[in-house]
Amino acid sequence: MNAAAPILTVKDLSTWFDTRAGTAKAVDGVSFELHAGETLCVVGESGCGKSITALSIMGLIPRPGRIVNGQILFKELDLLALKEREFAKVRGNRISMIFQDPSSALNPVHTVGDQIAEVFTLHMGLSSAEAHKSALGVMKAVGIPDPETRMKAYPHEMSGGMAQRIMIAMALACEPEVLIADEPTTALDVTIQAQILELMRDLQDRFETATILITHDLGIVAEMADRVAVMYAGQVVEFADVVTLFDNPQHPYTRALMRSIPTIGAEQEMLEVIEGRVPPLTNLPKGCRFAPRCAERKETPDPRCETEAPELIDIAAAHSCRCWLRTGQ
Amino acid sequence: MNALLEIRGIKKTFPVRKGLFQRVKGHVNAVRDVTVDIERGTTLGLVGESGCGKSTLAKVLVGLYPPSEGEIRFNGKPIIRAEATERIDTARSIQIVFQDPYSSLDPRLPIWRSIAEGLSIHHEGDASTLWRRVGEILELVGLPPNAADRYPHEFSGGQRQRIGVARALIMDPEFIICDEPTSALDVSVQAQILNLLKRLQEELNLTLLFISHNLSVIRHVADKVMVMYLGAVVEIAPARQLFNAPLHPYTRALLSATPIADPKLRGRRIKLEGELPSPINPPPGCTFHPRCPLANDRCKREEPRLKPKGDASVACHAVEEGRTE
Repeated sequence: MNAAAPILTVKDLSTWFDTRAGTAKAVDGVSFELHAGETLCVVGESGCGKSITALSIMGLIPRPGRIVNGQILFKELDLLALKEREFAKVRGNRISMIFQDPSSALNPVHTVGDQIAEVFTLHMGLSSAEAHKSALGVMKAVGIPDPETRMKAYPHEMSGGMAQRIMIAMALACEPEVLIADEPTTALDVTIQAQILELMRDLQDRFETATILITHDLGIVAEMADRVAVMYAGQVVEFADVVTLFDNPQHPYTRALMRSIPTIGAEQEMLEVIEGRVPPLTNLPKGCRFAPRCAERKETPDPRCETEAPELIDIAAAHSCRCWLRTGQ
Repeated sequence: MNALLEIRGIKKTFPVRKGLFQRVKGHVNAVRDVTVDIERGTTLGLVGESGCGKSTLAKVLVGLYPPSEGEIRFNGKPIIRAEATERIDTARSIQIVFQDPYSSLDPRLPIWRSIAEGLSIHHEGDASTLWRRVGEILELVGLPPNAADRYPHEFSGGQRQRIGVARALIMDPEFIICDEPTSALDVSVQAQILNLLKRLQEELNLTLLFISHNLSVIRHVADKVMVMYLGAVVEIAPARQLFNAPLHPYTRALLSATPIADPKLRGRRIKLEGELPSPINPPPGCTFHPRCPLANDRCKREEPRLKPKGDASVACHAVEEGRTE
């Protein structure tokens, strides 16, 4: 789809957590490429590994997690080979992240102006006065009314939408090449969500930022994505451009997920339900991880579903799927 | 169809206290004049963004807050002004399911104790009757009977919300308030709970007040929808009409802001500027006017009243005057 070299390449990433109950394979063999100016949406339900994928790229995996396998290339830079001090120069500078809950991601004892200015002093070596001037600039860019006054405000004095704008201002301060947004609007009201999504789109147009947008909301995926990765139990189960994914979803999980959401345009008596629950990551099924909940398998049984783990295989140009029923033969 | 619940002019004001002596420095009008009927066996959907007063209204209805003004009639009987014994009688018939199934169950109690608590408070039956009743209710909400003596942490979010529903149902209520019952759940689990509520409503002829900020969910469950903004009702309409032909500019903006799971409908938005004003110091006139694309001088001065228009009721000068800009 894009001939230019990718900005970010994730190859076969596995991040596991050693717990008393066993090893939780939170991310298990995830691969994708990200190009300049595009938005990749990672969608899935809680525990599917979408946030851990993001934190792995940011080098922020909490203990007892560890990256057991894989490669993360930022242009030619091998992020997993970097020492913490070197990584700190990339993080927040060339790769930035926005978190779900802005009120807990901001430091309550510093003014928001100081917090944004810190990004500039830290990464660009600006003096305090210059940094504050630049901070004012990015606050204007993200549409904060009366930024001179707001500079001196503390996070608790801001609404959720304003705090999220501050987070975006901090993340974009150094004009990063990659922005990772983890459920950036989940804590916000819908009218404010619409404002923040539009802001993200505007800024992306302006700076050509490559964005990874993590969400559980298929509406936001339809609204924002160029390409979509659907994750289930630590793996990508389907990969496609956004129109293909919604027009022609292939994986039984993607299909079931789409039919389980109520939509404003349609009248539905009963919603389709995905029976059962996500398997525990410490005790995954031997075959396909979705097999125990898969309704399509009951119609067209394939013995491999329960015994052999399917690979993510191309089923069309730029469309891949991890399912024996689609890719078997 | 007759109204099971008649809500008449309900207002709820909270004092704002400040300073060393906690003097009253002002008031928050959390709910300003809500009047609506809920017909037996139907679902009223209540939508609005944070701070619009939807949860305060729910708490007034279950009797957790006394209203500052107004009256609520249940089955034709006023329950707000009723004497204590009568209040308890009707209180049983009104139950609530809370948003967060994680914090609304006591982690130290096996779930049968939480489910049976309402019955114990009303001194109903001995231990064996309670136990049998809990078993029946668990089956009704789709949980195995052996779940009864397990603890909340042993259940998933969806199962916990089923327990929340069970706890409401054991009192044999006629009316259940569902306050954001699925917002803490994953979408595939949300579908299970929505289907469960729909099935139970049909089987038990329940009347529901369904509160949500998610318009797609409201579309799915509600027969009639009430939209609130900053404590006041801005529009009430039959669900199909509200979604097909919304009248109030706020309802339209809210619908337009909701992302739709279809990439081909991308980017057609009514953009709403600004944020919700503070309920302590609401704007004069129509409280929506600072964000409204249709606002004029009259909107800044005069607060619109909820007036009938066809099958709907709407509180908007522009709609009343037929103004479109």
